[in-house]
Amino acid sequence: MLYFDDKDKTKDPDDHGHDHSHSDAKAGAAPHDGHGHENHDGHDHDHDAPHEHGGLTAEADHDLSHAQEAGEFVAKPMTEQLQANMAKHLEVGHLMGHVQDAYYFECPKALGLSFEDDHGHEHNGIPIPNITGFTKETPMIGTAETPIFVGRLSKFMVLELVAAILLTLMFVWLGKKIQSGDRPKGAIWNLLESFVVFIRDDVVRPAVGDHDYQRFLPFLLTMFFFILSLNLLGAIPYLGSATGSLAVTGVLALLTFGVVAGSGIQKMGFAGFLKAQVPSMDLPPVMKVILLPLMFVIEIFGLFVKHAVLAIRLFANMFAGHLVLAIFVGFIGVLAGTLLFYPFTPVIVLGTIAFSALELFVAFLQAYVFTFLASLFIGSAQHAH
Amino acid sequence: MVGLSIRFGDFVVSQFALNGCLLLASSEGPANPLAAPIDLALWTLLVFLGLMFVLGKFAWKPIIEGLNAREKGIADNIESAARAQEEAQSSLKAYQEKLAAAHDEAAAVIAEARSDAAAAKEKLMAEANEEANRTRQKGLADVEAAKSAAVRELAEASVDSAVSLASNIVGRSLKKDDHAKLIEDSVKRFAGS
Repeated sequence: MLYFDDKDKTKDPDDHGHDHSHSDAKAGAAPHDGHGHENHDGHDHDHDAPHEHGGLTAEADHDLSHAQEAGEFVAKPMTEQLQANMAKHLEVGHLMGHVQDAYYFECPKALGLSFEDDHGHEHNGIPIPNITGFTKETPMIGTAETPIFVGRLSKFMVLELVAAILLTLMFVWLGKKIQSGDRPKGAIWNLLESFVVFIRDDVVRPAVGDHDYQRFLPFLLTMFFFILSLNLLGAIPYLGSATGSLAVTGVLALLTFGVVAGSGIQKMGFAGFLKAQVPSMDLPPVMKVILLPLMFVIEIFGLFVKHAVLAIRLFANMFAGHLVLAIFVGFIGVLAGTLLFYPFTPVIVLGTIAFSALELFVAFLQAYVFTFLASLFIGSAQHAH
Repeated sequence: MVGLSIRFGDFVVSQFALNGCLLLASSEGPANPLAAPIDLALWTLLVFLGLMFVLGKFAWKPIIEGLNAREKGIADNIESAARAQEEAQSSLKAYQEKLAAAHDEAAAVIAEARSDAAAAKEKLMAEANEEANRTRQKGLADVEAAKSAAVRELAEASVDSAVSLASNIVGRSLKKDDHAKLIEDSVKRFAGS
């Protein structure tokens, strides 16, 4: 069994004390806290030379509980080390914490930006200033046990605001450029314009129909670029993907449902819109009496389900993608302190890069899919089944 | 990864939440992947609607209008280019026709000039020939006249001499009438020879 002979580590109590505090292994952060530093302190030979032992060394076995109480590092067999690391870095709540909304932005630990949150937990990052003063324990609406409306600025809210500001700057600029009547010049102009033209001519127009599509362009263009920019912000390390929250995708799907139902009712009237949900079929009267109500219920249910799926598809893709990335990076933390760290970390880093590239593709794909399906739903609401 | 499996209950709840019946705030701790806090949802709604309003007014409108104007401009350009080409084609055809006509005309002019020249030449030749003929005729006539005069003179002289000779021989002088008759006869003979 391989493990480190880490007797030298006792010389550096500060590092070991740190080891027991909340640690963060996100996005290729340095190997496990203490060891990473140790390895650069001139003890490389010691660490690289493994010692064969049948189990715990006598002194380690003897001192284990004492050392732990004293906050000192104690050599452990690899399986134990791995299990301890796994419990810490691959713990579900910990992983989710990296993917889900938070009240702070994560930072590399090396920047030394650590702070204590309301619960006394230490995080590496920059806290978002609490302007309103509400917390999960003292929410604006609800109680500490069931906070209904916390009313505090979170990471995803800030990212949405950043996305909105970036989009406004980019497309107001593009609008001015295009209205000047000049020929498209430069990479940014051509890039943004080709996106807009693609969404208009290859997504919205064929799906909604030549007659009506102009009316829905502002909604669908905003939808595409909002989702895309949120997805892409998520691809930047230490930020996060707001589309990985069901609250965000749910609202976007709900808005789509509102546009679908609203435009359908506007076009055909409320009764007409409901009637248009049922496909017209030539049936004998007896069958009609039985089948039509049944089909009506199914179709209306389907109308809700397909919009719910719109939200869940986007949310699940982004959430799962980021969770997988968190797990990938978490593996580095799991291997830290064992010899496996050296051969496998490059593999994990390469895997993370490859998966990030895939996530980049997914960011575009999901924005496209959402917009395309929203266009189809709107289109089908404009014309009877 | 037990917590990753999505429980059916959560799934159903989220369906209702999405359909606007109920947006559940996260109340199950940090490990609930389906957490949908209402404040984030409302914030998203506000940000999206605000973004759509601003972009719709200051971005999508000018962009779509600009694109349409450009498309129309390009279509117009193509159309006018086609029209210009058509015009060029037709004027080229007209010029080619004109050129062909001018060519024909030039050929006709040349032919006419040629025929005129030929006619003038003919006329000149004929006149010259006529002149030459006339000159020759006149020459011939002169020669003839001179010849006949010479013949007459010769005949007269020869008759005279012959008469004188004969009278000398005959010794008798011929009368004047005999004389004339003799000259005429001899001239006739002379001329007939």
